[in-house]
Amino acid sequence: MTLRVAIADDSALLRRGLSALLTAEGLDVVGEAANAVELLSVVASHRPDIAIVDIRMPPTYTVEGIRAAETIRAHYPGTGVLLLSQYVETENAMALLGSSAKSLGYLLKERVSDIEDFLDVLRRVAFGGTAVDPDMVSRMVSRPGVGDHPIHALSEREKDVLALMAEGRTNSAIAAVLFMGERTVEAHVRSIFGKFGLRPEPEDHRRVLAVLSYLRSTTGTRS
Amino acid sequence: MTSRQMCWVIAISTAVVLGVLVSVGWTAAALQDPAKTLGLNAQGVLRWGENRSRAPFSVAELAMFLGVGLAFVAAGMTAWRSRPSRNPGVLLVAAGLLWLAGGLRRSNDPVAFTIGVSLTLMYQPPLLQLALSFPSGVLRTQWEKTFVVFFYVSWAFIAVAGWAFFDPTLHTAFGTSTSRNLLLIRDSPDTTTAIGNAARVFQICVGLAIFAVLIYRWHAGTPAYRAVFLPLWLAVIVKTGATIWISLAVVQLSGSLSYTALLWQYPATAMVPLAVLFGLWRYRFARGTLGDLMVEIGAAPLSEGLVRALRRSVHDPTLSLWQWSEALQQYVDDHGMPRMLPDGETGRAAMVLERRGTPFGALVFDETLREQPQLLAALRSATALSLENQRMEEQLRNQLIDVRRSRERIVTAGDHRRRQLERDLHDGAQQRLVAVVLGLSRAQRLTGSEDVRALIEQAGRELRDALVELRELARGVYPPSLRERGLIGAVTALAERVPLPIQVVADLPDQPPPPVELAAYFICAEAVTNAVKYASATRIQLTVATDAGQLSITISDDGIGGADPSSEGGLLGLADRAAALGGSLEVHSPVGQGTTVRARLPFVSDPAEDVP
Repeated sequence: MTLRVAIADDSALLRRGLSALLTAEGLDVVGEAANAVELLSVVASHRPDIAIVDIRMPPTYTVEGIRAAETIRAHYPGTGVLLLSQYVETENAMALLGSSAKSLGYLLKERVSDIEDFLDVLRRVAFGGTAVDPDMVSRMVSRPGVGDHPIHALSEREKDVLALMAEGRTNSAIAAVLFMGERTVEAHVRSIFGKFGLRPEPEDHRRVLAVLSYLRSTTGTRS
Repeated sequence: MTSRQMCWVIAISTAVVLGVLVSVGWTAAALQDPAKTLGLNAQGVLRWGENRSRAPFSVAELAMFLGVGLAFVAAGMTAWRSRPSRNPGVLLVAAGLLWLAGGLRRSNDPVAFTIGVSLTLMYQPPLLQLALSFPSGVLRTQWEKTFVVFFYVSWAFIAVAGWAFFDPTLHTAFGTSTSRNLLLIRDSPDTTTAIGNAARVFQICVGLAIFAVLIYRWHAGTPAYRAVFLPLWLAVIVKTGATIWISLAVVQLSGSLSYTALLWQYPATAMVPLAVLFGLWRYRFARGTLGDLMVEIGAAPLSEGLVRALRRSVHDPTLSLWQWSEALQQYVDDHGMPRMLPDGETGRAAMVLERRGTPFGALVFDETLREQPQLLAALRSATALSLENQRMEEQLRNQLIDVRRSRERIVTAGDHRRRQLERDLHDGAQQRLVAVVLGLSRAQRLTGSEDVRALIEQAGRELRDALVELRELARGVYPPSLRERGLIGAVTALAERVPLPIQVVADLPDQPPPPVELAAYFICAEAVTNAVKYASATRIQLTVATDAGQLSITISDDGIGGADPSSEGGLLGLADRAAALGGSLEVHSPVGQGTTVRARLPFVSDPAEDVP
C-alpha cells in the first residue's frame, strides 16, 4: 500500500527536496503547505496517512507546527504527524506527546538524510506507532541522575534497549538493531520495567510515553 | 544711610547736646524753678509750682534726659542703616533731637528757655507718625497723612497757646521762677488752665485713638507683621500710656509721689528706642534661625519640610513657595494652580528665585518681611540652595533613569541581535545544509548519472549560498577587517559592499582603542544601511577623523531625511552605544534634506570623570 503524505515547511527548497525524495521512493505526496493553515486544509481535503510538519512556520516562527499537530490529532485521527525541527527539545516532545504517543513522531530535520531510517519512521508513525529522536532519548538516558538512580542499576545492554524503546521502536526492530533475539529483547524490557517499578505496557506507543515520562521525572529535568 | 548723613546726624546731635549742657543754669534759683522742669507744658508748670515738695533739678536727671534723647538718636541711626526705608530711622532721630532740644528750657536765657518750652513735647508727633506708618515708615492713606500733619500743627499750637497766656514768674506758689517767657501775650492762668485741660483731653483722645489703631492693626495683621513689630508696638503703647499717666499725675497727684511720676517719663520714653534695638536684635536672631534652617535643609526631604522650616524661621505661616512652570510660563502653587505674583496691593510680597537669569520659583510672603532685606537675602539663599539641591537630585535621578533605560535598551538590543542571528542561521544556512544532506542522500539512491550530477550540482550551489550567508552573519557579529586592518580598513570594506556611491574620508593618525573602533564601525554600518534601505539616498559621504583625543564620525546622505533618532531602532541603539563609551550621537534629519549622523567618541572614557 502506498503511503499518502502531506508536507508542511516554509522553506520551499526543503519541501521540494523532500517531496522529490519521497516520490522517488514510491510514496504518494498528496499536498505541500508553507504554513499551518495551508497544512490543515491539505489534511482536510486529502486525509493523508501522515503529515510531515516543520515546527517553526509563519507567522510567528515558534511552535505553529505543534499547534497544527494537536489540531490534526484531535480532528483527523487517521493522519499521523511527524514533526521536524532544527532542534529537539524535551519540553516540546512532552507537550506534544501529552497523554498519547500514538501516531506521532518528533525528529531532527537532518534525519531525512538517512533515507531508510526515515522511511521506516514514516511507516511506523503512519500505522499508529511513535518515533522520538535518538538525540533526545540519549540525552535523557545518559543524563547523570541525582543520587541512587534506578538507571544505574541497568546493564549496558538494558540501557541500549531502553534507548531504542524510548525512540518508539518495536521489539522486533530493537532485536534487529542490537542483533539479538526478540525473546531476549522482551526479557530486557521486562527487567527494565521491573527495575523502574513501572507496570509493563503492552502497546508500543504507551510504552514510549511511560518510559519518557519516567526518565523525565527522575533525571532531574523536572521534579 | 550714607556716612555723610551719619556725620551730619552726629554733628547735629552733638551740637544740640552741647547746647543743652552749656545752657543749663546751675544757680539755686534755676534748679528750683518749676518753669524749667523738663517735660511739662504751661498748665503743668502752673500746677507744679503749687507743689510743695519739688526736688531740685539734678545731674542725675540731666543724665537720664540726655540718655533718653541719645538713645533715640542712636536707635534711629541703627534703624536708618539697616532698614530699606530710611523713614523710621529719620523719625526716631528727629524725635531724639526734638527731645534733646526741649532741654534748652533749663537755660536762664529767655530765648533758649522759650525755644525749650515750645519744643518740650514736640518729640511726640514724630513718634505718632512712626506708630501710624509702621512698618515701612511711609504713610499710605490720605487720612493718615492728614492726621499726622494735624498732630504736628496741634502740638505746636498747644505749646505756643499754653505759654502765650502764662507768665511763670507771677504764678509760683512755692519758691520763685526767674524764667522769662517770650511767648507771653497776656498773663491769664484761667486761659492756660482751660487750654491745658482741652489739650490734655485732646491728647488723651489722640493717644487712645492711636492705641485703638494699633490694636486694630495687630488684630488684622499677619503673624509675620505681629512677630516682627511686637516689641516696637508694646513700647509705643507703654509710652502713650505713660504720657497720659504723667500728665494726669502732675495735675492730680501731690507731694513726692508726683515728682516720682515725673521721673518715670524717662524710662517710659526710653522704651521706644530700646524696643527698636530689641526688634533689630530679634531680626539678628531670626537670621540665626536661618542658619539652623540650612542644617535642617540638609536632612529634610524638601518641599513640604522646607516650606515649613522657612515659615518657622521668618515667623510667617503664610509664606509659600511657587514653582515656575516652563509649560505654562507662569508660577504654580503647591496645588499646581497657576498664580500671578502679588503686585503690592494685597499685603503680599514676592521674591523671584533665579538661576542664571531665568526664574525657577518665587517665594511669596507677608510684605512686612520686605523690611528685613538681610533676612530676605538669607531666606533667598537658603531656598535657592535647597531648590538647587532638589534640582540636582532630580537631575541625578533622571540621569540614573536614562542610564538604566539605556542599559536596558543595550541588553534588549543584544538579545534582539541574538534572536535575529539564531533566526538567520535557522532559516538560512541550517536549512540549506539540510537540503544539501537531503540532496546527497537522494543522489546516493539514484542510478541515472544525469540525475545524480544535477543533485550534486544543486547541493554545491546550496553549500556556496550557505557559505555566503554564514560569512555575512559572521561579519555582522564582528567585522573581520576591523581586527585585521583597523577602522579605516573596515570602513573601506563596508563602503565596497554598499550599492551606492560612497565617499570615505578617513584620517586617523592615532589608532582608537578597540571598543571605540567597534562602536565607530557599527555606527557607520548602521547609518549606511539606513541610508541605503530607507533614505532613498543617491550618495553617501562618510568622514572619520580624530580630534583632541576623540574620534568624530560623520555620515551624511542626500536622501529624504525625516529619520527619528528617538524612536526605538538602530539609531537609538547607536546613541546608547556612544553614550556607554562617554560619547554622543546626534542625528540631523530634516524632511527632504538628507540625514546627517554625527558621533563623537572619546578615546579614553572614565565614567568617574564623564558624569557631571
